[in-house]
Amino acid sequence: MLRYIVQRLIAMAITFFIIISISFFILRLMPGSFADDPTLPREVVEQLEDKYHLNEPLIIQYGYFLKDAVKLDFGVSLKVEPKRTVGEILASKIPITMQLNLFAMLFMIPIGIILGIIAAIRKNRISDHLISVVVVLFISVPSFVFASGLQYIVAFKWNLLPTVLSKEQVLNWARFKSMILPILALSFSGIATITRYVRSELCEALNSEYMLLAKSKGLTQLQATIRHAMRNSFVPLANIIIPIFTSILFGSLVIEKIFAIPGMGGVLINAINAKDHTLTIGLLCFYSVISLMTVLIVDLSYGIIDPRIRIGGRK
Amino acid sequence: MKNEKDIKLTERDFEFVQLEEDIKDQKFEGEAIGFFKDAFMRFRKNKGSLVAFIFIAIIAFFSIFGPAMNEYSFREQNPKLTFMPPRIPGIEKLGIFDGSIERNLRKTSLETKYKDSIVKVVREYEERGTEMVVARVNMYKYKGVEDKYFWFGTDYLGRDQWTRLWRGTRISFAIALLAVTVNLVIGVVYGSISGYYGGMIDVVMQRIVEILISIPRFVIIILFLLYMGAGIVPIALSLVLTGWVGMNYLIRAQFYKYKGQEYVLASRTLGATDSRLIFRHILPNAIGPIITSVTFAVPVAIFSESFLAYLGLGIQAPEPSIGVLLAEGQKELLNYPHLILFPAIVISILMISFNLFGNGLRDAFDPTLRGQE
Amino acid sequence: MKRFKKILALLLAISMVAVVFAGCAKQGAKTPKANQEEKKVEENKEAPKGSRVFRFADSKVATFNPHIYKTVPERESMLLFNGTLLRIVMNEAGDGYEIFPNHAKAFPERSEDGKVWTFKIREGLKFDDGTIINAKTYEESYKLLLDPKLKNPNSTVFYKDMFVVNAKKYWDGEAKWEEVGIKAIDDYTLEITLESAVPETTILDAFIFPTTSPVHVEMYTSLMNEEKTETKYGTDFDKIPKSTGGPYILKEWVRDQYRNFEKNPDSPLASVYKVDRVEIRAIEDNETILQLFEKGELDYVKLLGAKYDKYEEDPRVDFTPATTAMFIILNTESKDNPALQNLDFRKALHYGINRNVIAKDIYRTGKPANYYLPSSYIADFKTGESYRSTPQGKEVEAYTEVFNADKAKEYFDKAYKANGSKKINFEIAYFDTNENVKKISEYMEEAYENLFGADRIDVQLKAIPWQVSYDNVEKGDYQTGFAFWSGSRFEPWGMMEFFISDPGRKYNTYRNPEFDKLYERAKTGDLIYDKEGRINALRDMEKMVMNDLPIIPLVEVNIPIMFSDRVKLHSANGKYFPAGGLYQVLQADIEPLEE
Repeated sequence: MLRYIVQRLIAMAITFFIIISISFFILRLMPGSFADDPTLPREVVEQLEDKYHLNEPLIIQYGYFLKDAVKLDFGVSLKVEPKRTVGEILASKIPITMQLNLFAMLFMIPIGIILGIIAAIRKNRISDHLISVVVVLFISVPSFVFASGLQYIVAFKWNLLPTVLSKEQVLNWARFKSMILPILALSFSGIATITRYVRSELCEALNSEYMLLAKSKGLTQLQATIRHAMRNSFVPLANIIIPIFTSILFGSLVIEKIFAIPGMGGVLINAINAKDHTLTIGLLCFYSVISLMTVLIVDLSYGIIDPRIRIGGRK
Repeated sequence: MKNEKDIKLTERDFEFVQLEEDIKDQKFEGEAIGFFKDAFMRFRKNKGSLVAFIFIAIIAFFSIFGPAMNEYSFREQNPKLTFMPPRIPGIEKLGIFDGSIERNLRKTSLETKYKDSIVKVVREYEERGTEMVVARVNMYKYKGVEDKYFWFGTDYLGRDQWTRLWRGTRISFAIALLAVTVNLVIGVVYGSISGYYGGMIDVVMQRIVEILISIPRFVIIILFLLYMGAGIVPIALSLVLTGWVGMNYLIRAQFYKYKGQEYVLASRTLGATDSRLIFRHILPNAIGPIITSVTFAVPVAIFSESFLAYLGLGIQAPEPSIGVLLAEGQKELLNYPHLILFPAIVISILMISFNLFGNGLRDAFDPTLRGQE
Repeated sequence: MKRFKKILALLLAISMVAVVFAGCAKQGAKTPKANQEEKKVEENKEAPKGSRVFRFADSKVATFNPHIYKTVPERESMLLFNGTLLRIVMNEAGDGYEIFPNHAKAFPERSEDGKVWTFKIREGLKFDDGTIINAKTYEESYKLLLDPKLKNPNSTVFYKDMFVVNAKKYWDGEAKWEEVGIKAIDDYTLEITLESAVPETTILDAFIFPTTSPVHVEMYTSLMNEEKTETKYGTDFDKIPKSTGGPYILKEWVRDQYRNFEKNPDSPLASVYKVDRVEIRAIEDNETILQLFEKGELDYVKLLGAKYDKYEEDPRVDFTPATTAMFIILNTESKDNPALQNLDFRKALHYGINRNVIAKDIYRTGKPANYYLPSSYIADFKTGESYRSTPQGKEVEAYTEVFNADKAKEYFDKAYKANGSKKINFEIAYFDTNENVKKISEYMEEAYENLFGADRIDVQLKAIPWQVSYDNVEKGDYQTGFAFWSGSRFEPWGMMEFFISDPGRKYNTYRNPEFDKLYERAKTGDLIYDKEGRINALRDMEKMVMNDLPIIPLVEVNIPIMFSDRVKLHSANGKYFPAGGLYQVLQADIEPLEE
């Protein structure tokens, strides 16, 4: 196992390097420039670009980039938040998104699990179908519909909760009140995914032979379900929850827009649209590391949790 | 000691113990049923899936014949009749979908501009010294087009939403099916090879996958669309770029789960080739997850296409697609909800139906359930 | 092995928990550290009862560094807490503008040859930390603006519309500061030397915006990096002075969320501006802003798109004309579609589009435009008279028509024949991110095909990512392109730069030496002090453009807006003066906030 992890870490480093390099070249291929004020004379634009070596051959630009990247210096943002480093930008945006989404996870995981259990136990009966329909509704109706709808009805018509994120900077009650609606809106799709997954795993577990054995040993359905089926089916939950957690870091573009939350949502897309090369690469480095770690952790979780799977083994 | 190699066994060395007597055995009570017949029977029993299948068929039917059902084309614009509320003959008598919408009007306008078009006055209020009312206005009467019926209303250029919705469904289906099929093929093959061989091959292949998903899709799609235009095929292909990865993980996990099992070992001992092992022995275990994944992937593809449309990378105007309609409807969500209502209903029905359908298919094809019930 | 797995699982759990706490701690750390001024910030978070506060929502600001900002929200916010040499304010009567000498004692004096402008600076101006602002501060600030290593994009103010001696050379790194025409003659006199004379509006335009505000030189230089190529000035709340002698003081700035300002009693404008406090929230979603307005949490809202429908008859609605001219650029040298080279075809396109439909049915509150300059551009800044309402402006309006189907068909017939009676393939390039561009393109496709016959013209729509559209036009790789062009309201002549043969960047194919001559005369030539002559020049330039139709103007956009009941605008007729900025509001009588 240890050898496998080390192998994977080395592979991760190589992969990371390739990702950043390919992305670097693709990004510079995009037409347009960060100095996109159409009234600036060409000559001025060129000097602005020269300052960041944007007019030199790609290889040379790549060289500059590597030289600085080794020192962990990704430069400053060119357009989205000019003159701020990637680190500063991340440090000011991630906490908000993170906080919001952690609350969302605290909400969606228990509910998702409970709904999944109910659906599996009462498989193919009315409650199962009902839960399935509700769950699929959560996924199929676009998130902004829920977000807009909640905001309009709860915050506007009924005036129960604030319309946008409060200005308070500490986590007091006023701020939390303003976070309730976005947390709800964020949870819906997560609840749906978890419910579906738990239901299908638990169904499979309930059908397996060890359940038969447990019942033949004399356990009631309930005891057998709790002691054996559930434990077995929860365990692979990691590979659903961990990806949800990391997708959180990308922020939800639409929900953050609707509730005026200054988080990570859309910051990568804005950076790409603005041709803010330094910020884009910096963000990509960050996201890639997170992505790769996620994949590694999920893979490991397969191995740790399910003894039948021997990761890395030969055929 | 005679060498083992020297022992030769031929047919003559064997003798039947008995040949004449009948072996008394119980007669088969039931028919022998093949795999697919068995699956079909199980599928039929699942009422939910049957209903789901019917819904999918209905939507498919409308997507083909819907646009022809009224006299409007998907391109025909009526700039004077923008954002008309839906009006369905028959149902309008019940008070919903009667082509009316709430408006804040001045009390004085009730007698002048809006004479004859008021359905009812909801309430009165005052604003900056002017008397105002909230009234339900019949937009068709107000615009003088009482003879027209826009079943699902009109959009920002006065185009009939009914026609656009079904035409859009057609296009979305095309994109989704194309994307899902390609994803399926690529994902299954890739995942099988990676999962079966394991070791270095697996490591390299999965690293390639990681590279692919980490490069921002958005950039690749923009470049793609720049060079290929914004048609059905380019958009479908851009969904393919990373869409097969999920299938790949699924298959790979299945392979890891099953390749160490005894029956695989047994088959290999009997001399089965790699490809026979992959396709005949291990892969069928994955049919369940594959089917569920595929049936769910169709609505998900429509969703991705909608997200692209929202970002400005949708299908070329003036062609509609469910994604484009959702993106357009979202812009006026609270003022003219009918624009998003109908595409959202269609995609919800599709998702629910595909989900239940998928569940039913999976249960039907589950080899461990064979012979049960 | 089992232990190892357990450790791994434990590590995972710990890291997740740590992140939660880091999130909370970071949230906590965001509240300013112990500092007297910062303590005051805590109390000022929400507008106290009874305060005359104006609250509205706008886009977020990317930076508060006056040398690199780009957007209008940034400009408006910076004008609140930055001082400028000159300011435009509403006059007493509320029916026009006047120039308010803000940091300058008066409008600068002009030398005989018009090349030297001298500002006398007021005494007693200071930054919020007490540092004095005088002519030397201004000189140092402009030196930083033009710094060759920093390469600030806003430095063009000194070498684009007016040419300060050696300013560009200094920016290029080819001159010494002593050679540049910006000098503090003494502590309170600033002298600007130009290469050639310019009209008063150019000077006005240069010194009413934050680009030419003073910066806190010590802070600016202390926040630079080692190589002195970047500065962190303006990137965060603790990295800018809270007031550079501006009418307001920046009290709070939470990036991308909100910014609050309070009145500066020491500013020369203290007697003119009546609003005590300005609160701006950064919100992008229009529906959210509208809801906040209706709930009484905001005092101003714009009704964009179809949101206007519900408020059509609402007495609170007023209009503010946009400063953006909207038109389609035609490639008169197109190889893909030679018909575009034919003036008849372009005339057919111009007359064949029903602008009334676009203005009323698509934009709801637009005005059909068969001219280039929108109504918000001002011909005489002393009276605020808009160019479009002058006789010259009206002349251009009457010059062509807003829609004439028959004429259009006539021109098209001629063009069709000239094209060898072959079907014309006309491509309209649109981008999806501006909703109206797509709508208009779709409308034009149907309209042209119906009007001219689908057998004679085939209109194709092509989606291009918007990043690419100006690029394509610059390269000449297009048939049509949508353009949104804007400039300073007081400098309509600056807008005409779009059409000269050699601007810094060319986005059209129009090259007319006569036009260039007229432009020169109005900007730097014999007409610069001739008010009437300059307005005539505008008329002639517009007519030249309409003669050749390198662009097809479409509509003028009037944005419906609403103010809350508390805001009593300072204007003669109670209506919103076409200003496009916060001027009129800051001078408004605002009722104290209740509840």
